[in-house]
Amino acid sequence: MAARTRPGEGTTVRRPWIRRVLSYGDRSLAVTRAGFAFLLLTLAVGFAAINTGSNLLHAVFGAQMTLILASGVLSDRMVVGVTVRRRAPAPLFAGVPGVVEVLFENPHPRRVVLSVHCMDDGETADAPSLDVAPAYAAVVPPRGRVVRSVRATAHRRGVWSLPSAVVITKFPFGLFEKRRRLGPGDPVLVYPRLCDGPVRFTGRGRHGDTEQARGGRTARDGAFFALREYRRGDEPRKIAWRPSARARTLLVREERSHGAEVVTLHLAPGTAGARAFETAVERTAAAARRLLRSEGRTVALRYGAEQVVPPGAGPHHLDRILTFLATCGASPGGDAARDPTLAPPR
Amino acid sequence: MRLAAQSDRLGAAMLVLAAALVRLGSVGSWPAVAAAAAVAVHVAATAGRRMREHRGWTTVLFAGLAASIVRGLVFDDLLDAGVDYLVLLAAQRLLIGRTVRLRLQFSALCLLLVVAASVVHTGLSFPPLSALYVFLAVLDLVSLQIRAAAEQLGGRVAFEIEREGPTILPALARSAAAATTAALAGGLAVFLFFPRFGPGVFLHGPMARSAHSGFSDTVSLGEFGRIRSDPTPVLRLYLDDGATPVPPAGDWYLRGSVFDTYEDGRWSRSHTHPPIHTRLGGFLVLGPDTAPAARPVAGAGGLPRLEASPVAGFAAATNTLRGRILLDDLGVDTLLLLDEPVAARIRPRSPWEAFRTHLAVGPHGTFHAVRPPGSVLYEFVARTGRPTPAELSATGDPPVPEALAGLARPAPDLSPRVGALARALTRGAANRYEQVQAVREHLLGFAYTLEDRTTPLRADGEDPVETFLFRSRAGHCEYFASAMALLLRAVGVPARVVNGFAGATWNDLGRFYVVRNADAHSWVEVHFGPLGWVRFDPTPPDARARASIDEDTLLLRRILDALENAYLTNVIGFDLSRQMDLLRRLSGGTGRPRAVVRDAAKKIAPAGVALFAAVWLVRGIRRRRRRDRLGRLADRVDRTLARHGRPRPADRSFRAHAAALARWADPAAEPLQRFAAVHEAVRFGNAPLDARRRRRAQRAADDLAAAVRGAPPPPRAQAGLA
Repeated sequence: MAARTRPGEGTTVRRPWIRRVLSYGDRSLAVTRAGFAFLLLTLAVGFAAINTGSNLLHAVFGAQMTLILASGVLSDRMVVGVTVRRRAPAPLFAGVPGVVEVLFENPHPRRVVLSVHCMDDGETADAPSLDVAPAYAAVVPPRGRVVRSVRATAHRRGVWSLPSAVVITKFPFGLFEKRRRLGPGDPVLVYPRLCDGPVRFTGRGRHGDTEQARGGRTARDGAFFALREYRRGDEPRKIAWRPSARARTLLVREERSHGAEVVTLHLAPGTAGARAFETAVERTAAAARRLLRSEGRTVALRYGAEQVVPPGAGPHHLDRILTFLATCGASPGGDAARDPTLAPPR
Repeated sequence: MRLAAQSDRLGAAMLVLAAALVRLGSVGSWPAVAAAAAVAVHVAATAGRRMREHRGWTTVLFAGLAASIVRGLVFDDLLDAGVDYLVLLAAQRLLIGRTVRLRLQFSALCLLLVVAASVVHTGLSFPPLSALYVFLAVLDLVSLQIRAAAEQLGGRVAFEIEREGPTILPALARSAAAATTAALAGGLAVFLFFPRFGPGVFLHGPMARSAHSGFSDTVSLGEFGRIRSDPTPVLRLYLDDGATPVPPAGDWYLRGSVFDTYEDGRWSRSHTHPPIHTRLGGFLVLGPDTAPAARPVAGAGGLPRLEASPVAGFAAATNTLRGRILLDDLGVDTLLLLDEPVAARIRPRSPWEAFRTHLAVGPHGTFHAVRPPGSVLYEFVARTGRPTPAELSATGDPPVPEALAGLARPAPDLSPRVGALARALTRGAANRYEQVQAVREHLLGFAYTLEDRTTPLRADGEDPVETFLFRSRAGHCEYFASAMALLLRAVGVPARVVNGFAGATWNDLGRFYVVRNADAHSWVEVHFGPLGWVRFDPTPPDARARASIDEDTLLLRRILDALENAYLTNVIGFDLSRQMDLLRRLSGGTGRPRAVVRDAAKKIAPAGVALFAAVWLVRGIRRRRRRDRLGRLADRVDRTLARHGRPRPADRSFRAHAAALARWADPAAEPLQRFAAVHEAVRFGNAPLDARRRRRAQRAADDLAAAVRGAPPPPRAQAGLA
């Protein structure tokens, strides 16, 4: 059986059949190099004890055997006793390292969980769309939680599930590596890579449907225009609370900005994965960011003939555009791309 | 840094313990152990520092390693050289052990040393030291595991680990303690219940060893220190049931090495007297088949037992003592036997020992056992009767047998004045006994001292015995014995020197006789024709008694002796038959496995349940106390605030309340803020309420009480007080 080395982890999986033999349920066990040495030494001591009848050698042999058993029990307790969840607090950009939070939680009232890793399960057959760096918690106190932020890199835009992960521990002695497979990870939205280049856009006259003239500046100089229903991404401070209470739904104030020009970005429909289409998506995303952040313009997005993102401005409007660009085209992401919680706003 | 520093200190302690364990087992050398200890001290002193200057240390260690290799190859001293090599290699690994990989190698080497110690170390110090070692080793392994994660995952994880050090270290110590307890329990269970096989068929020869130090084939006068004066027990003697020791234990002589050749101040064995022995009832009996020194007689219950053979003209020749001796490893193959031994046999405590131990008879009626390192248990039959002066006188001046002619000739190196002195002393003696007594009485007038007063007075080329006889007139027992033997030889009386132990002490706690290093002694045997060799002790007895230990006042020593004896008997000597006895006792005498388990469960379960309940109760109480301690302090702070007009609203934290008070420059704000810091760290930050935090919280509460006493409270409404 060929040996192979798992990426991101120094442990060499020498004999996969051993792991198969030592697997049960969602847990598996591997013997480390130090563990092999210790096992060999234990066997040698046991052999010498039996061969010589030396009483103290018997005691040493018993202590070594018990340490091996204790190692197994303690490591099992560590991986079973901790609840691990990985999530992305914010969308990632393809090709740019982002942050994934790993939450270690110890529900037990008394036991401490020590030295647990959480990392991508390198044994899954699927090619991962995301690489998440390992997270390590040296100690998780009883009824406590530890949050670690680790680097994650997405390879393609879309909505992806975080790769299957495993909780690993070599605690207490580093003789064995106990691992427990976790369920499928949370979905994470990956914005397209930002790549400057020519894009197709059209400018239009003044438009009242804008909320902010310049990035970072409030629209205090704009006059009240109308009330409209709350859309995801709207700034909470724009919520008109009294009208919302009367209407029993969230309403936000729309204000007329002075001199704002609407720029409409055009993206020709295409198939996700096609080189030309992906390039167009990346350029559109870069242009939207430049227009909204640097130039403070009001931007709309058309996908073919359809206006998929109405005119708007501000950082949340950029999120709306990028969310659409992340999922447009026939996504190769499969089910994850159709996650209703991450569907682009219309 | 904390983990690294702790790891360094743990490693240093492990190295010292492992080296001490093997050295206490009398293998390895003191220089190697001292070098390892020095390295351990250096590492502990510089624990946790990133850079450590160790070029000089490494040079010393590599020199030691090379020396141990040479010693093993050239001097064929594989066991000691191998242990030295391991000790020095472990020290070197500890010294350079900055990475987890090197530290694991160090741990493996230390484990090998402990395994070696478990083979050679049969002393009472092994269990506590090894238990301590197991705890340290487990704690070290657990710490290394955390450090390995830091090494593997980089600086950020290392930083997090370092930041969480105060939380990690106590948790690691608790885990290590639990694992150690389990390991020791497992070791005990295997020790008690794993059946002993010990065929020993796969190993041959390399571990058997013979004399190295202590009793040896030579005695050098002037090289003081051969016979040590420390109270360490050397052997334990158990008499057969019902036997009454005659003579009393204080007058016992235990023969060890016998010397017949004197040259240049040295005694040695000539090996010219072929051993003669026969086998009888499993015993090796001195004497030829036709006239063995022991004969079988009917004992209690009609069972045959050996008794010293009668000797014509020696009424007490059949006075016999039988028993067992448990002899510690003195580094020699000579067995110590009660004077005058007539028969002996090994009582192996395991099949391994039976396979590896061979008993033989040496020249001059000594018994030798080639055996594995460690203590040895053997049975003896000894003639304790001594010929009376009348019986000795009756032998007259018996002719010297041809084989003993060399033992009746004057030593060639001695000057004529020794012969002249001997002739002057024995002038007028009517028989050999009177000659012996004349010489002995002359020497009894000399001074006994453990100081070497002879060597400083010795002229160039002068024999030490002559210096003793004519200049210093003071010395230890070897001088007395040598002088007497040489004086007797000068007048044609066959004599030889015997080294052994004189006197034993009854330990009523352990019910055995103990003989110590301080009882080491040297005396003379004179040949009396048909009566054989007869012992004479020329050393002044009073002086020796003063030099010995006052046993009656040393109750602690007796207790320690009894403990060590129990350890040797019940731990080192625990064999298959004892296992079966234990199982039989547990099973109420049936010996059936199911009954064993059932009965053991019946006996152990209540104790286990009680123990579990007690531990659970104690832990619960401690936890509650620990938790409540901060709660009680918080209640006290609240009561203090309320009593002095600064009540804390229910929805306001201590910190917020302190901030509210601080706006009014209230003196309670500062101590309340300090208390809030501890309270939040413990309540919400999972920080342990250790002694330091408890003191800080207590001090803050005290300061608060002092600060608000007499200070006017701020206006209630403005301060937002409840």
